[in-house]
Amino acid sequence: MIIGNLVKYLFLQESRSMQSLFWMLLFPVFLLVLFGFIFGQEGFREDSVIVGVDPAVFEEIERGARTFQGEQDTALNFITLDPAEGKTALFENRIYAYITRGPEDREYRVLITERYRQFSFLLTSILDRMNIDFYAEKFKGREFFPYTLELATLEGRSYSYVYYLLAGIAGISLMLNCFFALPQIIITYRNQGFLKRFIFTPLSKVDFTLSLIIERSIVGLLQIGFLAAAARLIFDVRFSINPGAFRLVYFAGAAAFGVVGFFLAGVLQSIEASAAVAQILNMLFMFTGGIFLPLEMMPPFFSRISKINPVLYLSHGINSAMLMGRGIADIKNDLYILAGIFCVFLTVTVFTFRYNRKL
Amino acid sequence: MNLYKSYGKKKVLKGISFNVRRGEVFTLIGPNGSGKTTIMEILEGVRTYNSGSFTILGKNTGDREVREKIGVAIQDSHSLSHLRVSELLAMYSKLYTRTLPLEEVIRSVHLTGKERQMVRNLSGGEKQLLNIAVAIVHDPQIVFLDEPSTGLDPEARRRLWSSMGILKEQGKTILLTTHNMEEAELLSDRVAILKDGILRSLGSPEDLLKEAGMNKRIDFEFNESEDGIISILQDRFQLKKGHAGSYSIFTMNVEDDMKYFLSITSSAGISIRSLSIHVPDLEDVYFVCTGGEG
Repeated sequence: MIIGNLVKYLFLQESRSMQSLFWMLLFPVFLLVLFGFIFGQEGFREDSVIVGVDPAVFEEIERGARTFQGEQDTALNFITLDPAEGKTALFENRIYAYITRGPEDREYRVLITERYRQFSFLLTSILDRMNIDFYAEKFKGREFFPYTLELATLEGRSYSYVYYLLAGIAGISLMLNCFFALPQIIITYRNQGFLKRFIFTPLSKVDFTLSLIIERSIVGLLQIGFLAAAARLIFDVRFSINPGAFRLVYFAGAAAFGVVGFFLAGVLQSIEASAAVAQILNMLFMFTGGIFLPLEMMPPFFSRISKINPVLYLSHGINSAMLMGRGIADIKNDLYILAGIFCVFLTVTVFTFRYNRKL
Repeated sequence: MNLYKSYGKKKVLKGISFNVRRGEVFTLIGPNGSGKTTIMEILEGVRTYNSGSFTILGKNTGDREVREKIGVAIQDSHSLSHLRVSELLAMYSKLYTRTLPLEEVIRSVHLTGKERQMVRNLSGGEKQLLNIAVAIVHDPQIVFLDEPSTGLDPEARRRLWSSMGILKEQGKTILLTTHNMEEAELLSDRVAILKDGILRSLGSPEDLLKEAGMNKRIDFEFNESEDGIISILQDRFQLKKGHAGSYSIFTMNVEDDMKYFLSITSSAGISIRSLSIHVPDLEDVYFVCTGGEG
């Protein structure tokens, strides 16, 4: 009751501010349109799509790879095997793909693994650069390539860069809401005495924290709604939403980033300090989270950093649940990591957050 | 109470004690840095203190029951400025278990007709009235008002005082801090004068005047600067320097002291521009207690 009431009025306050509306709704759409047009929504081809897995063929490839072990560093550098998964081929630039037998004899199909299907636009360009004909010719008649290597057109949906970008911007919008807007709002409220007023009321810190996080979550959902509408209208993006998984990953992300925002608001005293720290974090997380460009295009160092970047898991979770229609089981790792962040920062925030300025 | 509070090595409160009676307006006055706001914030539960103890309505200030019964008007610039007056009050009212009808609250603070106005469009005076409205929305028994009239024009100040008068009539206990002596004298049942963290004087405005030994105030102004005679007067009287070269002296025996004043100025051949006798007020007591610090 108290939380719902507070959420309502906090939201009313934000929604009536032109400045808030711009950052809340227009800016994410602006990013989507800008990057969508710069990098192009036509970076994919119909011949690089997802189908199932054909484990048997990998044994064949593995045998071939062993045979040509000595040449892997040169000509066959684009195929290695991951013993842990046993069926995944690693292409150059670390694009995971499956290779399966084609419908015709002596034909392979190059299939991007489901996990990386949003990178299909990259794979096609890589394969172009790799000059398939060259490899096919080079290994013609040899054991590893007894077949013609070609890209096959298969049934299924193709995914453009905009799909990849959309989930990233949705994630980054939520992050901006939490890392940037939330500390700014809290510090402004605190410095102007608005938060101090709550000390005199029966409102608990937990209620207040939840109210702000819920209000930010609603703002974030509106952002995603606007983003989705823009993506549909401008780039003809088709959605495949798993509502349960989406709700879970979204609120896990909102809660995780929300407490990080509260943590920042607790340790930083001024708007200026908050803006500076938030900018650094945003830039760091944005680029190491692979929001605008896939990590596969970045140096290995960034890939390693990205493993500890929560935005990566949030955008992956949103991508899976909103665009790929995957269920909770498919995003459980993302959920665990976001829940972990929430627990750690909530614990710290309980001790560091204060309604009033340091006294 | 016997409250002590230090910020690092600086002692801000040096054993402050007082009781506030139910239904009275109790005002803390004193120069900047005297400890007024620190006392208020300690009582409100915002600030910690080093030693001493106190209760509000017989309970600890952090007690939920106490929070339901106190209202605090702080100098808040209303961060939620995009809400309407009625919305802001509704938001706060729902934080409490008991609330007054909003129309009644709005009427108490003379904001009738402004219910649908955005907070950001209110004048400074109206925002202060809204601050008070927020503080009383749950019908508290005790209201804390920290310098409510600061920065207000005379008309807005009068409206504010009228609202505070209504609260007083409703039987609310009011703790007030102010730099405005007229406000303190007009509204207070009792006044506490603070300086350097010590309670210098406490009582009703009338009692304080008596206690300070003041009967009359003689205001005067010379035509030219006369440092020598001022120095002589200072040895005999409590002398207050006013605006534009004017001075005041305080006396219990106006007849004798006036004779003395006229004799030394005439023997020194000093030309007097103006001379008048007044009944002293709380500001004069404040001056005597604090040594004239603003």
